[in-house]
Amino acid sequence: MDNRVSPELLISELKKEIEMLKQELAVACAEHDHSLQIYNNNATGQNNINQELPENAPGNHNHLYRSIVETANEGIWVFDVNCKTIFVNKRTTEIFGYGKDEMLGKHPWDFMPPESIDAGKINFEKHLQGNINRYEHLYKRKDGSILWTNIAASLLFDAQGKVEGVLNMITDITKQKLTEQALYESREQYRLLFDSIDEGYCVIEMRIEPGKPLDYRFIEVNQAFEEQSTLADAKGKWMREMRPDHEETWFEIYRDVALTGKPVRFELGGRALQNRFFSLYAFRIGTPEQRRVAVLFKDNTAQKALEEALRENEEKFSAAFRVSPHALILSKIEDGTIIETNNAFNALFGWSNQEALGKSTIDLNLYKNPDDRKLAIKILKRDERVNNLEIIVRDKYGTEKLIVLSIELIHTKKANLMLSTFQDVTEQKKSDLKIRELLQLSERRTAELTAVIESMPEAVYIGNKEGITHCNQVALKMLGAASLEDLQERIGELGKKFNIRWPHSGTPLHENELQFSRALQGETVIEEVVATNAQTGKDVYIRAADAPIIVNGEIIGAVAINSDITERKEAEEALRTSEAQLDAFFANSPAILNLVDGNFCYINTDKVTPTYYGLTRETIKGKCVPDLSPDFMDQTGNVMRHVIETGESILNEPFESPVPGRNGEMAYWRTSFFRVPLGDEKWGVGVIGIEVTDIKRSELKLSESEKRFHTLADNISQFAWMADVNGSIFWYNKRWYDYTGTTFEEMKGWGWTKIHHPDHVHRVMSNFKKAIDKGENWEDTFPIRGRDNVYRWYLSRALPIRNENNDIIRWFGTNTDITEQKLAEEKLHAALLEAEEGKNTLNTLMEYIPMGITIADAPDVNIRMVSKYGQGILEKSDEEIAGIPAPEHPSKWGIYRADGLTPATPEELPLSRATMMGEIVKNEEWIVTRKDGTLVPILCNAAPILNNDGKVAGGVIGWQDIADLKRIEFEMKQRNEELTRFIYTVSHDLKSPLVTIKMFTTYLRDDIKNNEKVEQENDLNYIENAADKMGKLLDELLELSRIGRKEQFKTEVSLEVIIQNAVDMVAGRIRENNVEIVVTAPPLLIFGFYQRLIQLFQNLLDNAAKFMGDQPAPLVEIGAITDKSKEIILFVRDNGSGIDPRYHDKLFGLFEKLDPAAEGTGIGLALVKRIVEVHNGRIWFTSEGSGKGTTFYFTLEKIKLLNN
Amino acid sequence: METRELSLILYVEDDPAHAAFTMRFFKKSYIDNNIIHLPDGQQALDYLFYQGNYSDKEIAPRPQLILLDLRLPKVDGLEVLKRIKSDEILRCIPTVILTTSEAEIDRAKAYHNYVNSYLIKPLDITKFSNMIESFGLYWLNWNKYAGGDDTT
Repeated sequence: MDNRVSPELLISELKKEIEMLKQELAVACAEHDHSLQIYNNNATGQNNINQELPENAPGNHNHLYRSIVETANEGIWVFDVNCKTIFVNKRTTEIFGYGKDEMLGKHPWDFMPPESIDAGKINFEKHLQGNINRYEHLYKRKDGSILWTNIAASLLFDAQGKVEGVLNMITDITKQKLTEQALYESREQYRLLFDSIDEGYCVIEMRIEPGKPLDYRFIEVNQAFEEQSTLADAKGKWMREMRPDHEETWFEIYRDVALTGKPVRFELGGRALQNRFFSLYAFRIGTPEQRRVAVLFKDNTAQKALEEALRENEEKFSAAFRVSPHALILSKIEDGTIIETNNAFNALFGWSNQEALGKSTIDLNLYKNPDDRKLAIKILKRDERVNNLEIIVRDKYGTEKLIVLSIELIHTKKANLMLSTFQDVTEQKKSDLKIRELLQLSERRTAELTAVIESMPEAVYIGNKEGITHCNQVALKMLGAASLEDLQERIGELGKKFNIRWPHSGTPLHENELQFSRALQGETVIEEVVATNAQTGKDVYIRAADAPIIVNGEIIGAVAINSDITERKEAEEALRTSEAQLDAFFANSPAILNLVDGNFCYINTDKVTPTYYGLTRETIKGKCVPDLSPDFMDQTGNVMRHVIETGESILNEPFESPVPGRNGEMAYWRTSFFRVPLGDEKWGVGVIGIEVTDIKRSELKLSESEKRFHTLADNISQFAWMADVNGSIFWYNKRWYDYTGTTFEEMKGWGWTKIHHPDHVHRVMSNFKKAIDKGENWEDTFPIRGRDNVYRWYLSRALPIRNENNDIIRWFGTNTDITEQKLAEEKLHAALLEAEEGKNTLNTLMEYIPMGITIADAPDVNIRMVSKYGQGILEKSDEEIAGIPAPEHPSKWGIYRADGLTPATPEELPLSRATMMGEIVKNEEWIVTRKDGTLVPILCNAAPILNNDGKVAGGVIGWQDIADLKRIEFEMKQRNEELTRFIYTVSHDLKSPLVTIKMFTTYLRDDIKNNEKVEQENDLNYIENAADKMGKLLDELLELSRIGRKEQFKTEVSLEVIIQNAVDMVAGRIRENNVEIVVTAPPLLIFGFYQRLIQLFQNLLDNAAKFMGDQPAPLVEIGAITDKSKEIILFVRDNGSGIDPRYHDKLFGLFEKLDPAAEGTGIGLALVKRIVEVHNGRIWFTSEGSGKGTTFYFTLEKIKLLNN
Repeated sequence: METRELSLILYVEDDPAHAAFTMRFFKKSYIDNNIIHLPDGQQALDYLFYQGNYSDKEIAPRPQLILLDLRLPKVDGLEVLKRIKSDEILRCIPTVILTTSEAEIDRAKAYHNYVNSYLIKPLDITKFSNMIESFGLYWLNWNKYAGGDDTT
């Protein structure tokens, strides 16, 4: 880094270089047709280096700077203002791997990978604006490899100070970048490992400075470290700060690792570490100067504890085994091989451990009787142990011994072992006999002795140092012993047991001091002692006379003859005690307690009083108050004299001490004076003084605490107050008065009611009193009037304050301004009301709107409600409909697309689209199925319901039954078609006779001219017929158009009347064709246009009669089909020529005539159809075909049976 | 011009008056001798398809030209046209509509069903006369038919 040329210098030199290059280029361009842009200023006032450069001598410099530029460690790259390369040095071409020619004229981003191109362009723009001059950028070498560069850029200016281009110094930092990346990855890996290992891991940094204690701080710790070391949040902290008692060893170990770099593995633990054990591995990391040590450690406490316990057990067992006084053999169960024997075994059996090992008891010939061994094994198998089996064994030398054998089984993981215990009872057995003889002798002697001592009036004890062997009843009673056994203990113990002590000092007698002990030593003693009777607990004064018992010059025991002298001793003691008590009373008095005589000289004092004068209780006696403390005398002299003279006691006279207290502070006293008789009719004064300094001080403190309370209470934002146990308020804080503008006089007790709102005060008072009575916490919310006469809302609370006995002594209350909160609540309430109102509005709307409205919830399009009208169409109640999700809609209501054939899918339904997609659906036709199965076309409009956030909360669909609309539409279409046909027909059929008239008029003229009489007649006939036909057509058209318009009112007419009238009108043709008319219909009433109904039947009858063909017995029947459940169908049936099924379509057409020769214009059936239509009926016909008769059927609105 | 004797025209017209003066015009143009006049659509179909009264082929020779009114009883002219043009053999016979209807829909339907020509009856007798004359001249003189002399 340091040996590089500084960028600024280089740039200035480069500028010069570029200048010269420009000149060179200019020359080159002049010779070659070069496309490079040429800079044309070669002298600039701005660049003073350039100024120094002589224009006419560029050669030397040229060479010099060229070599600088070309040998520079950095790449030099120059762009013009369009960011086209105008210069690169050799180093640049090396870095990029491109040739100079390949780079010149190119943009830098031609050498960038796609991801860095945008940044490259931005950087170039920033350059031109002078915003950056140093940055890192990513390029791509010619070989495709990545190239990280560090770029130092500066602007080039021309003479006018205009930016000419950008000069870049390029350093290849790819390697560094890649290393950084690798480093980063490696660090991440380390971090990952660091955090995931279970062992505690930390990195510490040692501080090794002369004169300072060794210490280290934690650079890094992992989670396991914190858990195991119990050092929380250790990172960055110094060890000595956290654990000042941390053992020095640690610091030393880590120091050594830091200094030497030698890793250390060790285990540590013990009490200093809360009895935890760690295995640690410490090793140096980083450079030695860093003095960093990494420590990997593991908590071994549990394992350690187990190991320890095991080792302890083994040792215990081994020690017990070794030192056992019984002979022990440890052998294997399987083959009886001896594994271990102890010393006692060696002693008992003569076999050394070496000799016994590896052999069995059979090998050692241990059992005298082999059956004993078998028995032992049998018991062992049965009981898993052998207990005290008496057998005879032989030692190494064949000596027989009686022993007691016990065997225990030991099952370990490694082996099943047998521990055999041999207890030698040979000697014991022998001595047992001897003892028995001696005992008998002893018993006899004892009986004799007992008789002697029992007869003595004194207490008699006989015994040795192991205890008393004989005593009489008096002796037992004296000490309160229950029996002789109580006394059969070592003499020293007996001394303690009966609390034997010296009468004056009360110190217990040492064992050696006990009279009995001394007698056992040969001394004869008579002394007085005190003992405590074990039964009564009373002290017994004893005069003890003890003497040794000497047999054959040897002391074999001692005898004591003791007298009870308690009564005399007690009398002596009582007097002494009384005196001592009084003195003790004085000495131990916690208060000042003085007794002075008539001259105010001290007779007795407490311990403290003398200390004021530098005296002791002993030395103050006889000294007088006036001498010791004239001040005190001045203060109390008169009082004391008064007491002596009058005998009146002065109690609790408080006054300040004339002398400061012992600690130099002023002391406060409460003093009493009383007269005391001193005998011989003399009087003294007793003085009792109690220091009350502490009480005084706490009183002071209390007032201070109250002051603090008031200061706090006056400054909080709430109101605070206190009431007595009855709720009468005796204190308010300052805020209360500030707000209310009242005074304490106005407010005290129940004065607060004055500034409460009249609407609330009654309730507040009642609740407050209730709380006070019950001693419960009180809480209420109410308005309080401020000094501005405005009420604000307050949340008020009161809590009882109780004393140690849990009695309520006061109430403490606060009022918190919650006006804002209250307002917010009111707003919320209003909003809720509004919502409720909205809901009611919706419900009302849904109840009465004559339209289907369905509301669903997002996202499942669950139906929430359907308007009443909608329910009527769907014939489902609210409950049945509510909650049905989208997938069930199509099947539930049989929803089809508008074609009525394709079942709808849930997703395409308008409600689903509105609810799920937020789509607004307008005027779509769908079809739903009623419960009775009929299809209802509906017109739908749907929209999403948005919540306040603009999210879709649901959807609503409005839908209308458009069956009527559809029908009308259909009818309209039919009517239109009919009209079109009508107009067409009219134009054709009316034109036809016109043509005829026209033609024959011309012929007629010709025929008149030619005087052709026959032809003339013929022509006139044609004309006449055509004119008639035309007239008739026009009349009938007029008639047809009138039907349904310009009518009278509809009335109820009987069918009979209608038929009668119709028959009358066609009577001519009926007669002419001999047609018989039969009415089979029952009496009916028809509601309709009377004249039209007649016309209807007239046309049908006329038609029937007209087309009878060659029927010999023409018959027309008028009948009705009156199926009860269906509408009544009327029919007119003939047995005439019938209608060819091929012509059915044309039958009811206007001016259609199947037979051109037939009479009439062909309007009849068109008229019939029209009449039926204006009566909302239908008409159709059946015919078996030509010659087989025809039946016209039709319905009309409101036909009913007359007799019903 | 000798072919004229061979020409047979099938003329379907329900209105007897119209039939009468039309025949007069034919006569005037010397084409009246080979005209078969039928009064409705059904009879026309019977004739053309050898059915009903015309099941005997001898009495229903094939026409060279069919002249058809649109508004006919029983079977409409348009229906007759459709049937003719649906038939393999009959569709080759030029069929001309002669009607009073000027309605566009009629013309469209006729052409849609492959009518060969559509004529409207003029109200003026001279025009009517000229038209029939031209008609005869064109269809019976100038126009050449598909088949040879096979009129069966």
